[in-house]
Amino acid sequence: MIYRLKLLEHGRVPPESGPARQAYLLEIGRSALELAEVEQTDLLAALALTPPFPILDVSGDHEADLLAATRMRADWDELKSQLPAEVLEAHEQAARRMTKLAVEALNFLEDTELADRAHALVDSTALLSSGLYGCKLWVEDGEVWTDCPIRMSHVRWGVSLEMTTEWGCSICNERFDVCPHDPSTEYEVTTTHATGSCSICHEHECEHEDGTIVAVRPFPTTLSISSGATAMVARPRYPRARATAMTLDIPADTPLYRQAEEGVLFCDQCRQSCAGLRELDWETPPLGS
Amino acid sequence: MTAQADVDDWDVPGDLNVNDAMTDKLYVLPMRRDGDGRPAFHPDSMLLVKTAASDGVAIDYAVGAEDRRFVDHFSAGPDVVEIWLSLLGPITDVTLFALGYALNGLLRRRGVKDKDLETSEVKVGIAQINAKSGKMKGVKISGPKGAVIETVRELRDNQ
Repeated sequence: MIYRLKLLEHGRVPPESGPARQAYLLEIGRSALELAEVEQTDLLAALALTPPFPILDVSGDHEADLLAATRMRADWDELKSQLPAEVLEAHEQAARRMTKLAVEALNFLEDTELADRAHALVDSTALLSSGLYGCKLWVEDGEVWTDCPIRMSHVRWGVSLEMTTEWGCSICNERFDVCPHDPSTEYEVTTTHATGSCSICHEHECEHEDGTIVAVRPFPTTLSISSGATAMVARPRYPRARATAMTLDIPADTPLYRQAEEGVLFCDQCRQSCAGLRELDWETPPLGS
Repeated sequence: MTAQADVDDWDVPGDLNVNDAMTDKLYVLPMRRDGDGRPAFHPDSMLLVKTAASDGVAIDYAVGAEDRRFVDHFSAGPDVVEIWLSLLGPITDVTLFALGYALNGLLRRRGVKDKDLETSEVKVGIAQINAKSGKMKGVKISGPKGAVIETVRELRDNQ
């Protein structure tokens, strides 16, 4: 099994622990949660749909589950057939976005009192998105890949980088540990984007205008990174540092593989009843079969 | 009942040294290892030492700039703040103040409010350098910050 991972993000590093981290997680997570809920409400209203929706309750009896899956797909086809195709198509992006926002909310809120709400939203938005639009599997480098939001989010693990980092000063770009700039003092800096990032906030996109002078406190920025190692962890510092896609165990000489190559193979994971979130378990592989 | 700090002997790793140590000063020791197993600092040390220098508090790195490495682990960290420090000779009022300053700085950086500083859990490794032999003798103290400071104060009084 191969994973595609998001390791780091541009910009400032999230707080490691303590109340500052809790506030950071809550601020971003709550925003994503509320936005996803609004998007879901808007989508249901636009398509005049009302839950409950067809879902597969997995019994463990292989034959019975195959029949139930066929019925579930037929029920979704029936539901979709009642919707005008152009209306359905017009809302696909919003449906995908709402699911991504719900997963984002869970990634930030998993240890808060909003965790259950975020989890329920992942399940309901993924069901709706998958049921209406499907989650197409694809072939790349001889493997069948999926970016299924349910598979990615229901085993709680992420990625931690261990890096030897040389830190520079956000003002003078010299080594932060030896330059004279004091992190508790404000310095006047002229805004420029000449290096590709802002001299004030070091973001690629921001509202600081070139030529304006801004009082800023210096902070460490990355000058160079070496000897990186990657570890699977239960709680990554960057809440988005997680698997973004994974391969499925579908051999190349099978009909399923050929269907994936032709772009007609879809993942049904989001349309199955939820078995709950799982914490990282070293005894079994992550995102196990 | 006042919370107590736990005190344990600490076998200070043999490759942790302090360059040009002076009395009445705290030296931040590297708590981490880089990919080659060499001692490396937590990046928080940078902000601590620079802010201390600006405020005139006697805290410095244990190793010179040319041998200084910083290793970051991008997992969510433990909620207990930990720092390893070294000092030459006895614990003094100056080093006791510097310890409180360092812990407050690390806790505030994690967003701990001033009213919660004394009760926040911390772990402190103190490696005391014998002025004659140059050898380090270590102790690790853990508990609420107020209790840890009180324990170090008792260590100072019983020297």
